[in-house]
Amino acid sequence: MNNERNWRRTLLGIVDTVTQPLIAVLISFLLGAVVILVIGKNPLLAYGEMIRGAFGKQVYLMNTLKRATPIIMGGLAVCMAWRSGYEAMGGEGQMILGAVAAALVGYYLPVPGWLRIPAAMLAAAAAGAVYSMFSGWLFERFDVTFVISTLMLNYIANYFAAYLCNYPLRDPEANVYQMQNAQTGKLPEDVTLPPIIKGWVHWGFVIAVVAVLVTWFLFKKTSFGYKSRMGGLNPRFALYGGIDARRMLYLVMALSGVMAGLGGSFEVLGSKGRYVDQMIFSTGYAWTGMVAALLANMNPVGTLLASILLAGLAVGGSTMMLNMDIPLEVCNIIEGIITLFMSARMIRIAAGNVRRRKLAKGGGEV
Amino acid sequence: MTYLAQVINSTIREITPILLVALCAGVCSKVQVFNIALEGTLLMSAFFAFLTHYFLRNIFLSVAVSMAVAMGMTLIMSTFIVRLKGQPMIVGMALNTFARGFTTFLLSVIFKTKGAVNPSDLKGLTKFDLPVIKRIPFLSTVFGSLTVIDYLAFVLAVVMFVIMYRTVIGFRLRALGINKSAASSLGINVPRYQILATTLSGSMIGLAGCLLTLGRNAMFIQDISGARGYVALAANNLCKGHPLGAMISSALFGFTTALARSLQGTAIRQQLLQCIPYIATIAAMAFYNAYARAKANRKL
Repeated sequence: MNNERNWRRTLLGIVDTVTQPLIAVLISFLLGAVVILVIGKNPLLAYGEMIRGAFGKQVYLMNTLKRATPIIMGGLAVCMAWRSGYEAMGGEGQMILGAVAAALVGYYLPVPGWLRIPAAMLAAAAAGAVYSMFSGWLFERFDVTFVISTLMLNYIANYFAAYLCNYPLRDPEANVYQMQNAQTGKLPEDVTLPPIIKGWVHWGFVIAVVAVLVTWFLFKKTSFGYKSRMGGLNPRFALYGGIDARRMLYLVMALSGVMAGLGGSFEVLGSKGRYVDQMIFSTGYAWTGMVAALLANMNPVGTLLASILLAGLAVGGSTMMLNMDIPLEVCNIIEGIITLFMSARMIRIAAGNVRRRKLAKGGGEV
Repeated sequence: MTYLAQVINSTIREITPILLVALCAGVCSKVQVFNIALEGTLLMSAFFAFLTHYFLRNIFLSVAVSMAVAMGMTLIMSTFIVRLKGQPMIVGMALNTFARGFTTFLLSVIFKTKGAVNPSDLKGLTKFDLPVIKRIPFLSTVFGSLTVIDYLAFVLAVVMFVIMYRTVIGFRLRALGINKSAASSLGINVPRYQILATTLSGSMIGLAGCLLTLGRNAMFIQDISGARGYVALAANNLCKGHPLGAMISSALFGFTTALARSLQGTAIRQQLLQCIPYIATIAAMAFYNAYARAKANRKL
């Protein structure tokens, strides 16, 4: 009897974790299809175009992986903080400051090119960590909730970065009369992250994958992972167990900021070669990363996979836009609906309802 | 002098949308439904207010549609949180992502643009001039060309105070916020109350949405809500959900936004000025919490 119940619970657990994402994806693509139908396009063709544009050719796949790189880092930042119970959403601000720091150091630091890349990444990590710890300090010292402080800090970072690349750090070679977003100077060729093999994605992606493994290792195999998890599950128990909550707070926030900051630096060093105004804000890398982490239920490896899928959605979406004249924002709609349906514990609740109904009928023991 | 009056006038205009959203946030926080979908709800209602007005040229209908859309979004939000036990933060972010995508999608399908739509032949909400004040020079600028909804926002703040603190329903709502199981043992259907209360209060976001797109001239810009939903969340957090306090805390944010705008063209760069409201938000919350903590310590 007991065995059977355990077995049933395990099965329910597996069904819960696997079915839920599938159902969420299915519903969102169905609703997306309705939207595409309404504007008079063929959803099957559109989705075909989307998948082909994301994973169909090596070039497309590499584009997807390139776009996934900052998303993975943003997702890891969320994993880090949320698992410890700090529902911070400051990834965007930290990523922006990381990107600016990388652009600044990469362009102005008077050392040879090969040394500037690690220096730029270090600066980005430091910028992200400091900004993230600042929101931690606001929480610890003044009880300012993470949700509000980080949301505000995101906007502050974006405007501050806009100021920097419009005035002090403005590209000296930029044409003043050209209608384009302000940007910093173009990094020289030897200060950009090279592709792994010619025609492949840049090394930032490899570092991101390594970061995923490191995070996984931290979570699963170290006392840090245990401590941070305890702090998130039950702060009082953590205190009782002799865990210094304050130290954990700053450590966790710093690590989370390092991830986000590095993500920003990859976008500058690997992809754009400079900081362009709004380049992190408008692409929503940090938000997509957050969605990826949520889809994966804060599991680092799952976050990696979800990030690649979501990046594919966006990259495929632009192919779809070009070839079929369907606005790219269909992808945002789909992303939103996936997240919405992932948030609800539908399966478990449906099962609960069935059980309750059975009980009401007096039908057998459950 | 006229300049000062204009600054006050633009402050009032900045306050009212935030106040309306903060009032909704207040109800949500009182019944323990954490609503971060305010931003997306505001964006959706603003867009549909504009869309209805653009096609049907009927101001009353567009206000109604806007309120309905806002209530619909809030209903989805609270259903997912209360009935389906969704994590509030995730539900909210999902709806915000959806709203951003959906409005931009429709904007590019219907108007073939991704920037601003500003039809010159379309009039905004009817302006409402107070009878006596219209003749007084300074005050006429201060209260000049405000819409009915602007005045309604302050009236609603008082109404919400009366409802929440002086009626049985308000008492029940606050009670279930404080202790769900105690409230349910008194025979209050907690989930139903939560969903109904949040959904009805969502209509106020609809009014705020109308102000954004139809308040001055009729126009829609991509992402027109511009973090007002988040700011309102902060304003509500500052006043701890009290409707009259919301007037003061949203005034703070309205004032800093208007200040930042009035300083444009001075030596300080525009991008730095734009940071002011957000910095003020954080600073106000930090100061207030430090003050509250010090006060609590003194009592002990």
